[in-house]
Amino acid sequence: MQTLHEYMMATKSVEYLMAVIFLGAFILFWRFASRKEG
Amino acid sequence: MAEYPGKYTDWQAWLADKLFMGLPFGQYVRGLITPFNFIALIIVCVGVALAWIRFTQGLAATTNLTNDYPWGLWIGFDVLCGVALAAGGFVLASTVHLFGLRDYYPLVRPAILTGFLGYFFVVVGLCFDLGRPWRLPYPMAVSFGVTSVMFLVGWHVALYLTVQFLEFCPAIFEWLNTKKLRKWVGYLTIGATVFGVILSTLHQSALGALFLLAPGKVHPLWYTPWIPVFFFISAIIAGLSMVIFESMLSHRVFHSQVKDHDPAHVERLVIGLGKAASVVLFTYFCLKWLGVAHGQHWDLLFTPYGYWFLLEVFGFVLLPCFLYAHAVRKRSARLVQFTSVLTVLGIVLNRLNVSIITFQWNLDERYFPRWSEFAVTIFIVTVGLLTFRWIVNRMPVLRDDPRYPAAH
Repeated sequence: MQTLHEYMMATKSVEYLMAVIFLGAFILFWRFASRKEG
Repeated sequence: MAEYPGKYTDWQAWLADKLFMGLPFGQYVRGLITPFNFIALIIVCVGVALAWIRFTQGLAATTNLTNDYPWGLWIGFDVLCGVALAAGGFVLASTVHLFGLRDYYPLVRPAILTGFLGYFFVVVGLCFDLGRPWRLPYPMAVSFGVTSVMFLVGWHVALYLTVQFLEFCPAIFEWLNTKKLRKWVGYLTIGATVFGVILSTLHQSALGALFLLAPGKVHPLWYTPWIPVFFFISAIIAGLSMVIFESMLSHRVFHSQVKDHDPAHVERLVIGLGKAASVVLFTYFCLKWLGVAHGQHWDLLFTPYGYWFLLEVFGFVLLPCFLYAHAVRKRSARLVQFTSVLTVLGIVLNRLNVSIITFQWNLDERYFPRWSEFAVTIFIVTVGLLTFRWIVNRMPVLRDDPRYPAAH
């Protein structure tokens, strides 16, 4: 494996990274949905 | 009970009261003459005629199914969409009876009725596709087929229909005023709900698992080992959205039964369901992208099917997710109701994508349903609506029975 991209594809680390990002996004979304306007 | 001029005996008066809602027969029949019923009659007549042709002359006479496309609209819409959209029963039952959110109790019975009728007419649609309905019990007793996912689906639908019937029995026994039976069936509620959730978890995902057997046939953007998880999560979304949609329609059509309901309370319930749906939609959106990453299909996103996938995920998953969230923030039940329609369409689109539109995606010859397939589907949906209306007009589904005030 020569490049970071190849390494990430081989170890499927993209999925883990996406999962962490989505978890953070979920927390932000929950705060967004829970706040009332006005 | 209505008073009849002395020409009826007691049991006849009782039967007339139950069937004709306390109206004299002539008045009841005159009340049936409405534009909706006229259109429904035409649809039913065409459906019955097509049913005769299908069962006597076979699939080729009424469908465009082939060996390459053995499953068409009757499986893709009637079965897959029907089961997903009937998921409101187990979602609301678990919300109220298992999670203890008793505020949502007014929505449970309509949801369970919708679920029960949904599954029942899924079986009707399945019989049209199978062609030999007398063989329906075969996986139960004659030839199990334990290596097939279909074995699980068949058993589960049969068991879940039974469970939903048991969950709806309190309404039936209240209607019939059989106090002892009403009391005994009430004791079964928690157990039936738990069993129903177990069954639903498995068969909702099993319907997706059917497509695991066809990795080369379903487009890679939709084919993933996570299909069972996606089908289960999207079923929860479909169930919540159908409950919102059905309560909106019921409050309009059966206005006289719900006029005592506090509109502000109903709005709070609808907004609460909208919030739950938005959270589950967001989770589903994230998981769909994890599925794409898992399969490493990023390059397929820039193909026609890829654009179709993006439309489904952004237009019918992320958009309703944010519309629901926005509606919750603004406390707008109307926007929640509008979004529920969009969400239901999205679930239907997803099921059709997996089973028909992207199935055999690399073949030149494509399947498109014949007019008779559409007609049979509309016939089944119409009969389902008529049955729902018949039951709601008579039984305590949207209204409480004053003889059973402590039941809730």
